Amino acid sequence: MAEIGYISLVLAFVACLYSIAAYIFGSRTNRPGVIGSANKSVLAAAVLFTISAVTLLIALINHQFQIEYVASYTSTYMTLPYLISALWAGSAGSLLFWGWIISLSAAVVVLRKRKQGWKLVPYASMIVMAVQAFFLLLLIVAQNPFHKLDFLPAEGIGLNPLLENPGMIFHPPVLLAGFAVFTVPFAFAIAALITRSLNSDWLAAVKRWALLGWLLLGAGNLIGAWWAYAELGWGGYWSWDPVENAGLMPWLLATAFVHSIIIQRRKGVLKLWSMTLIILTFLLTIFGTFITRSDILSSVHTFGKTAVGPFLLAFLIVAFVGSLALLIYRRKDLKDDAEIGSFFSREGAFMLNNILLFIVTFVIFWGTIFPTISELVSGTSISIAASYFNQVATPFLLAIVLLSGICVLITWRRISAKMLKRNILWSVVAALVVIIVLVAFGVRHWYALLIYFICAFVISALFSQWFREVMVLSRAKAINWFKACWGLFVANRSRYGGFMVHIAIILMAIGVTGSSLFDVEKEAELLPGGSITINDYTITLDSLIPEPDEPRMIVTAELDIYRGDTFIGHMFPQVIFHNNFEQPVSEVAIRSTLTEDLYIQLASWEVVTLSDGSETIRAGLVALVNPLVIWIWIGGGLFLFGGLIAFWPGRRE
Amino acid sequence: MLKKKKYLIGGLILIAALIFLGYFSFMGGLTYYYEVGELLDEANSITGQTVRASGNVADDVVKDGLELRFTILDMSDSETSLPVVYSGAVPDTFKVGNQVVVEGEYTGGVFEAEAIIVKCGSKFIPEE
Repeated sequence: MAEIGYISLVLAFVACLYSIAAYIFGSRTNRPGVIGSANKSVLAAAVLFTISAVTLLIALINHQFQIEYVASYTSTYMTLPYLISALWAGSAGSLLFWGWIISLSAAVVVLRKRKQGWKLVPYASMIVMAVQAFFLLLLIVAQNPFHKLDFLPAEGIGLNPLLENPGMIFHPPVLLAGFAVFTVPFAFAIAALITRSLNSDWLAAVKRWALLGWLLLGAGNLIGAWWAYAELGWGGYWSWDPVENAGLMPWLLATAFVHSIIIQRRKGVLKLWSMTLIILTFLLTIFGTFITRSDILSSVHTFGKTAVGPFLLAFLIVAFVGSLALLIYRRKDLKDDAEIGSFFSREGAFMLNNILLFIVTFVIFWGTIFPTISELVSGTSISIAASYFNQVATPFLLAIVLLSGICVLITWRRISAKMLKRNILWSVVAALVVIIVLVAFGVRHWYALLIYFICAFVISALFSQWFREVMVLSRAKAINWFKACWGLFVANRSRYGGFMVHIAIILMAIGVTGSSLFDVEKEAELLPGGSITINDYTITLDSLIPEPDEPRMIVTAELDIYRGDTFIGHMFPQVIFHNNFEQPVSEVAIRSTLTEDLYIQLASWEVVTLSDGSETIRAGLVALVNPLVIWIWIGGGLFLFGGLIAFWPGRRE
Repeated sequence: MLKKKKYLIGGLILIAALIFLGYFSFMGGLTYYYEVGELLDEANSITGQTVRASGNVADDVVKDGLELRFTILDMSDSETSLPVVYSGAVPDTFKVGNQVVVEGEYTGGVFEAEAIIVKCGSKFIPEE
């Protein structure tokens, strides 16, 4: 079994090398036959990689503990979804999964028929195959997922109980797939540089790939945030941990990229910029992997020091230097066809937004790697507190959100001051009304008011623009609003998908602001019958029950929750002790409403002797009220929905 | 021309403001990070400052309700130790022998931690 998997990897590696050589030889000598054979070997590599991945999957499901990876991450107690998720639970498995997605992407690239950019395909495929070959090399030489133990364990160690959460089933593969997908736009960018075909053909070829990668990364980060919130028990969803940043940075740059290509395709500007963005996005995906698998940064996500660290570093350096050299070599061909006209035009606003996204990425990058630099240069160990990221990144992110509203109101080329004023005025008035209402309800936090002003402005800008467009069409064609609305939507799906994504971002901004500026935390130790109050909630400890549930022991606190004097329900925070693992796992209890979450964790429990000699139990509870958190997840859902609408292929592409 | 100059000046002021903001937040966000031995050497100069210290959790962990008292040992010299007190929810990955980072203030011979971060989480690494 293990042999099949390993041999498939080796054969896939051979197929990769062959296809790279054949692409180079075939395009140099202009022989379609040779290129055709290279294409076939791309498909062969994808099939072989698939065999290898399926082999590991079967081994995981069938408990083949002879394979070290299977013994390390699964046990006979695990249910099927978690057995499958073990494929990406460990370092070797996640590399296998990543490489596998790259191989499938490569196959899609050669199989797709395209009108534009087909000349680039051999070169782009060559680059994708080179990246794939690198991953195969890692799997064959440095971290073989099929490595066999020289004895047969009776039982596996099992998945770390912390990972047993639906988040585990979706977060890693979605994020990894996002990382993998960015190989394709990067490859097309390099192909365009090599072949000097720097018109917008390559952009047409990569637009949907970039959108897909961007969507997957965004979704992956969101699921990760939700998981941290629901499982890790510190009441937050984002901690500016280096690895969270590693997932966020490529997403931010990809956001800039999906916008800059819109202007480049329309105006022939920002050529060098778009190219740089996609190259950096790709490099950041590899950088993220590097920091999780080497010892250079401390993070909750590290796999510890693994053998692949040096390989990844070498790859990063080669890819960086190579891309930079190509960019410099082709700098003359990357001159823009026109200049960005007015600052007060949509392209001007897009450009500004792009620059801000780039700066905010750099700010995060700097905070992420500074501890390492400081250690290397001066030997002083320093860490960067979350306050740095919050203080520096937030103003930029707000400016970006604000501009995303203005972009919608502004026209291409140049907008007349009168029109801009009229368009903006209504949205400003609407936003002011929202602020007055908030102040009337007692919100005095100036920072929150500023953020909510921006959010209300953007939302009303989006809706008023959409409304104007519907009105114009319904008047022009003399149809009713619904028909006009639907007609617009069908005719320009990617634009309205984009609208939805912008609204989603605003919803998330509302949630993030509410939960980070207005959260309240309280902790208390309670005897049965005792209670604590937090805001207008009263939490009473009813009972605390330890209960065996092989192979675990579950301690559940039964809580009665009152709001004011009204009983509103029970909550059951738990601590679970697994036999295989020393560490307990806390299961927080969350009660979500549209306005706030009540979040309770059972932080401690013990038997105590009362003064009359009788024994009872005492529970330590940590309770938080997090306002508006649910809007982050609602926004996340809308983000995915709008993104899919923008991404989904039309009838004719 | 005049218009261009206006933008230029406006842009420069904006950039200066941003650099200012960036610099001060950066300096404010810097937290010194010590091994147990280093922290004890610097004890006088860091009183009242928020710092981080890292070490291995010794086996004298006492949990009394929400209060957690434990000692962390210097990674290279297990004779050097630092008593820590913390209150609140303890990370699931906290256990004897693990390397942890504590963030807080060192005053009067005790490190009062506001946060415990478990380093090199056994999160993805199976137990030996």
